[in-house]
Amino acid sequence: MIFNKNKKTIKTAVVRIAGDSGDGIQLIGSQFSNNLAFSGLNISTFPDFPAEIRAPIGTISGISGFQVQFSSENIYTPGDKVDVLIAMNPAALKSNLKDLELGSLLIINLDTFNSVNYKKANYEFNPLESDYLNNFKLIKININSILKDGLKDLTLGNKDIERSKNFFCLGILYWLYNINIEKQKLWIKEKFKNDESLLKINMSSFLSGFNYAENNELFNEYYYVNKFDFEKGIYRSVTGNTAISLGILYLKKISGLNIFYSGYPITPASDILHELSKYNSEFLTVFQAEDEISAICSCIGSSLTGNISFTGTSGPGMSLKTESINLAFIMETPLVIIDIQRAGPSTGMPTKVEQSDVLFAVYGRPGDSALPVISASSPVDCFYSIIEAARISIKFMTPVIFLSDSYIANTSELLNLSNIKNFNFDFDFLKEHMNNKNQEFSKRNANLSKKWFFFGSENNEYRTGGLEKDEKTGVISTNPDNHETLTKIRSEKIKQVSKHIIKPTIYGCQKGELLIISFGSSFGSTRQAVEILVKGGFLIGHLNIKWLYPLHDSIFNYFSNFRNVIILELNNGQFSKILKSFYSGNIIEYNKIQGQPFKVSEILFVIKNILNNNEIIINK
Amino acid sequence: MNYNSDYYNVKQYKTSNEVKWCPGCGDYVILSVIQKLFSELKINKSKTVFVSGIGCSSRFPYYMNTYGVHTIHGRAIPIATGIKLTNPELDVWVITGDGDCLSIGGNHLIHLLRRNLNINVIMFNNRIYGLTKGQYSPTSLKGKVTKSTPSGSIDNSLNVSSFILGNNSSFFARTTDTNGNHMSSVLKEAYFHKGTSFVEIFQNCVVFNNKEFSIYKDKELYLENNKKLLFNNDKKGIILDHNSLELSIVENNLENKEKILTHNQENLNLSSIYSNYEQNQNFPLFLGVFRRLLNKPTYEEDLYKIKAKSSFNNLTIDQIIEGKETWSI
Repeated sequence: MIFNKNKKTIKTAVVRIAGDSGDGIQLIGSQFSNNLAFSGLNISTFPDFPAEIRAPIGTISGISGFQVQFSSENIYTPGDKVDVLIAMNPAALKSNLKDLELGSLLIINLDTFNSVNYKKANYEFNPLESDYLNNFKLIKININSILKDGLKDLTLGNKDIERSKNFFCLGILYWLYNINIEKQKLWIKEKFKNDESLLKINMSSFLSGFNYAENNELFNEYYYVNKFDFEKGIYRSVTGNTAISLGILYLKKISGLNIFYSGYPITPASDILHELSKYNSEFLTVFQAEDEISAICSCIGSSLTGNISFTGTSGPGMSLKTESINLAFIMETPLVIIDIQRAGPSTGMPTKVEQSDVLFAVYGRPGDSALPVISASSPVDCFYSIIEAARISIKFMTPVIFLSDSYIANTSELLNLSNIKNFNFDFDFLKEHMNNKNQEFSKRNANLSKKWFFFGSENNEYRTGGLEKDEKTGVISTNPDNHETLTKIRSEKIKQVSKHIIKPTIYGCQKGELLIISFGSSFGSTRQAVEILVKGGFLIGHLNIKWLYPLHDSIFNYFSNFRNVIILELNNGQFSKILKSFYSGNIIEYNKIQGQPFKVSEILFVIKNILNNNEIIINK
Repeated sequence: MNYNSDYYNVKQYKTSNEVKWCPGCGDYVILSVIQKLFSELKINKSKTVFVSGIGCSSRFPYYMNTYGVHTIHGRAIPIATGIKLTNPELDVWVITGDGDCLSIGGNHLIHLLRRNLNINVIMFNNRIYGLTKGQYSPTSLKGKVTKSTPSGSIDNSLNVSSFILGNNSSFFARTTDTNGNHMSSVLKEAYFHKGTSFVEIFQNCVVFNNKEFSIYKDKELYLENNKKLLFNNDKKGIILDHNSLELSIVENNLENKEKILTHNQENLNLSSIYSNYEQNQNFPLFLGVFRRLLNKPTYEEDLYKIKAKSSFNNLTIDQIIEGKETWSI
């Protein structure tokens, strides 16, 4: 029987799938997202990894989720509220229901909704009997039974059949959003080409899900999202960490520099080590060190031989690297320290996002050693910013800290590869900077930086190290004036960086009621919120800051054009302290420290309170 | 580059820095031996790097006219690792002390030994913390009274030879600042050894631990490859009991001659046994090259083999960046 199906055209949709870590959620999440992009839609994804490795099946700490927002318009986040939630079991329902938009579609795998699983999910009652579920359009499907039934003529184990339920759900999604299935089918054929039974199971489940939605009367509506007006180019999807790795590789191509990467495994930075290890070749040298300190120290060693060196870590590793960072600072050697921030302090919440290493990055060392700190605002920005970090590090002969966070590290964004070729990365200064023939060690250029003299070049032997040395002769010195002079030179040199970075610009109104400042991953939700408000006629400006230190001169001039200034950050007040040390006016702080990114709705709410306006209606 | 005969003169390896060790310090001997050795071997200054940590030992790089870096406490080894991995053509020497190398730096040493990078680690062991004015170190003997152990130390001292050999080091040698010729020949052998060459030098700290090593006077046994283990002017020898695997001391006479052990640098079992007697007062102090294993692959050799193999189908950087899935608009 064919039922009447409504086709509804929409601008944006947010889909989330959640289940046990063994349910293949990440796989179908990324497959669906890739195909959405391929179909011409703008996407942003967020994989929500389980808090524990291999937690007991059916428990909340083992739940793995994947969210994707897709749209015909500009989007900057994977979405606040969800339009379609597929929950594979009660625990998935419990941990994700609060994010489901009222009136939206909730699909559950009825076969897993039993008293044993309710207990595991800490439900004291049967959730299906709860009145609360009346707020949603609930579709209950016996996925396990349907699959077992459909595949019973094949002699296959129950385990394999059950595991293919993720493909069943994938099929439903393709139907629901009217996405062409051919490319997905080709992928399934390719992926499982070496295992005929798995190929049969997964293909069959995928088509089964699609057909189920097509034939079931509860699925009476399907959606169509128009294509996004992409800038011309060739696109690929990147996560923040992938973008860092690719950026480092691209640096090799455009600069010809020797590159060294050393890291120690730590969540959420390990993928950078994994990715770069594949390219341990003529492109770069990669070294897994025995600990965080060895990682950064081997980078310092390679910097002395003329390599631009990178080390990636998170909060706990940053603490360990402190002394070594100072050594590189006083020796004035290039070095990029990548901090993928996570909720702290100490072990904290390793898989959750936070922006609380800001003060540490800028000031957190004994002695006067404030450092340049660049903060990437999105996965694509990671690509460009890591190259920028290297450029400044070499030009100014100083360690530079590159901040990202676990949210950017794992979300994906579409990177326009054609734009890369047209970008001016500005490495022309290298040739003269690395010319070791003029042995003027003590000479500083207008930026107060010295040339890059490296070990091994003929007849240039010199000794360096952590002790303070006379600025002219290079001999160890405790002379009072010398130390003061050098401390000031080192500090001033870092400040000079602000003259070599792009001037940050305000998005939205250049003058008005409120200027919102963001940095790092808070950029996305902030930009989305400001776009909505500016369209609605509010006099709001958005200033996203890339270099947290030194600050570009223009920033404080902007402040005077707005009645109010607010800084949003995922910490208990850090960047605000830096801003306030340079600005005597009022800056409102909005801090969120929940291990979760800002929601667009939350930012709108906060701004509303500040502006004292009426309810803001958001049209999707 | 044409170098005249003067280029390898000892003076060329000295810097103009005034040497600031205490008068009578054993470090002067080491500096002098190394400068002379470099002259003898015609070492290229431009291709030599000295990397040190923190301690009196670690002032060493300032006095050698080669590349040098005076780093942070305990971290000379990882910094040296970075230097060697990125420029394997350089001769890298790590200058460290008993505190710098075995206390704070112990972990890094373990990993260097198992990686077997081709660098030389020279540990100046004075069994004390000299620069910070007299605290006990991991090699101070138990019971040692120092500024931080007024009642005598209660730690057992680290058995250096066991530790190094236990980590399967491809080269371990010990020498002293009282025998400059021996030190020179040991360092020469360390220099030519391909792999991590760990050399322990007993060094006298004249101010904070004077005459620490006088207990070994006339009780030295100089190991030589393929030669018998003899000491005390060849009057005594060492034999091994084949059941208990214990060593004992015998007179070097006709009866015992055959049984006296012959040293074999490549035999780890033998050198490990000697190392168990390091703290045994009834036995002589073993000096010389305990172990030298030839042809053990170095980390950088294996690393460069990996780097030479293109494990990703000869893709260019542009192709890697494009990745497996792109779509064009």
